[in-house]
Amino acid sequence: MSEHIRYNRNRRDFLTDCFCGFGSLAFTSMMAQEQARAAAYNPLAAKPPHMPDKAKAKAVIFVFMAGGPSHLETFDPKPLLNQLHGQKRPAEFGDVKYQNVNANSRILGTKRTFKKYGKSGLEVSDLFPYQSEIVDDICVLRSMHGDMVVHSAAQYQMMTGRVIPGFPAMGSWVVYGLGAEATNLPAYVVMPDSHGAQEAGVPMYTHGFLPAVYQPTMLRPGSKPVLNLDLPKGVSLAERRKTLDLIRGLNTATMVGEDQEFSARMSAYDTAFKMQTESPEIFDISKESKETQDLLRSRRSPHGRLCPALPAGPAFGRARHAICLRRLRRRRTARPSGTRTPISKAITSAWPAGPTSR
Amino acid sequence: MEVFDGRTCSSPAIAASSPTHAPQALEMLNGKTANDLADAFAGRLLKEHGPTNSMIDYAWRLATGRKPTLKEQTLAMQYLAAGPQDQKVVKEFALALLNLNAFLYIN
Repeated sequence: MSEHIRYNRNRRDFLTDCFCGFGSLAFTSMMAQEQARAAAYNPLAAKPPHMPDKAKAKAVIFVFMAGGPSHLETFDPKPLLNQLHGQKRPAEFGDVKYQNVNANSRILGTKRTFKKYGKSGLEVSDLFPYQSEIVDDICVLRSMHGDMVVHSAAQYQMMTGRVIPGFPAMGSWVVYGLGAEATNLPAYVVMPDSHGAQEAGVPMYTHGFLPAVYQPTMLRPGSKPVLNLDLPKGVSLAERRKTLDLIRGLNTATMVGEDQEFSARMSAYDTAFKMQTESPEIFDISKESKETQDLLRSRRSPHGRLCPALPAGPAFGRARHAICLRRLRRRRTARPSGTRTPISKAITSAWPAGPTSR
Repeated sequence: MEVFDGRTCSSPAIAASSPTHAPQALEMLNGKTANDLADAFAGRLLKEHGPTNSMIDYAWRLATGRKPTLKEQTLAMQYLAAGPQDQKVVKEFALALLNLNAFLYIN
């Protein structure tokens, strides 16, 4: 309610008394509406999943490596491709709809060899020999396909389901659908590549047409990953707590009756304060084992440190939906030896008993 | 402006929400713009209205267009007691005013 217009009595008093108390009969349904309204004002309240007995995932880490090696060279062998190597595309393949490819282009097979690993018998190429250690913990989807051959459009489709920008990314949808369990940490975080902007840009991972409350919190490279998380220079945490108490006190001083929207506003300020005091924990890898720390530090990008730290970090264990998005630096020449060991080792080190154990 | 549902060329305005969320609060409390404005606000208060009482009155008139209530006046006096002429204390006080519902929202 506004403090500019002073109400003598609040809505409830009025309803209770009006028409000799008849109005109070409507009170129960008013209460129900009020509660529904209260829920609507906290869009981040945790919501149950659609299949509570089957849903096991506590967090999602989405690593997007633009310019990574092709699926045909890693996890998706196509014997026919090697049979047709050096030939023109057969007519039954249909029209040529690829970028920089015409009817006279020839098919290029792969020089990699594939081997089946683990109980699942998943085929992995010789680029990733160490995957055999974790092959039964991974699931490879070979059924994905895109509608566009242009990189950016395909990236929008992968992240948002549409080939054009402006639609919410999957992280925003997850927060929209499931809310957030932790009140002291953002539910959806994005770590952009510290080496430069991504080809398809920001629309790949933002909230699109959803309200700003579902937008990702950006974890930027360097010592200050979250924007505005640090107090202004010269202001101590105790002083800031006093200022927040003053804001709450002043806002409450002029409030008449109840105001759910006001409560939501004040809780946003409380969350902001908690984020300032508790978030730094998740960027602290000093509590990890030495082996994990060495692996995390061995990566070239500062995000290389953060990204695997997320599932391992004890504070983040409380956040159900941590989604991280990262693009490894595009390499002109494939250097598999630079990636194969850290990836499998980082996984086995962060989850000693398998990815679903934490 | 993106944390306040401001729109860019790449994200169209189809739905916008009114509730405040944490990144907005962080922007209003720790953001450079908010703190620069609070600093300037505090400077103006100290320069134009020295005595604490009249300074509080003036601050409320500037931020909310009305006089403070007795309760508001009391809370402000208590807060400013830490250093009524200290730019740093008055700046935090000014920042609090910029974060008031009465300043931020149109009712």
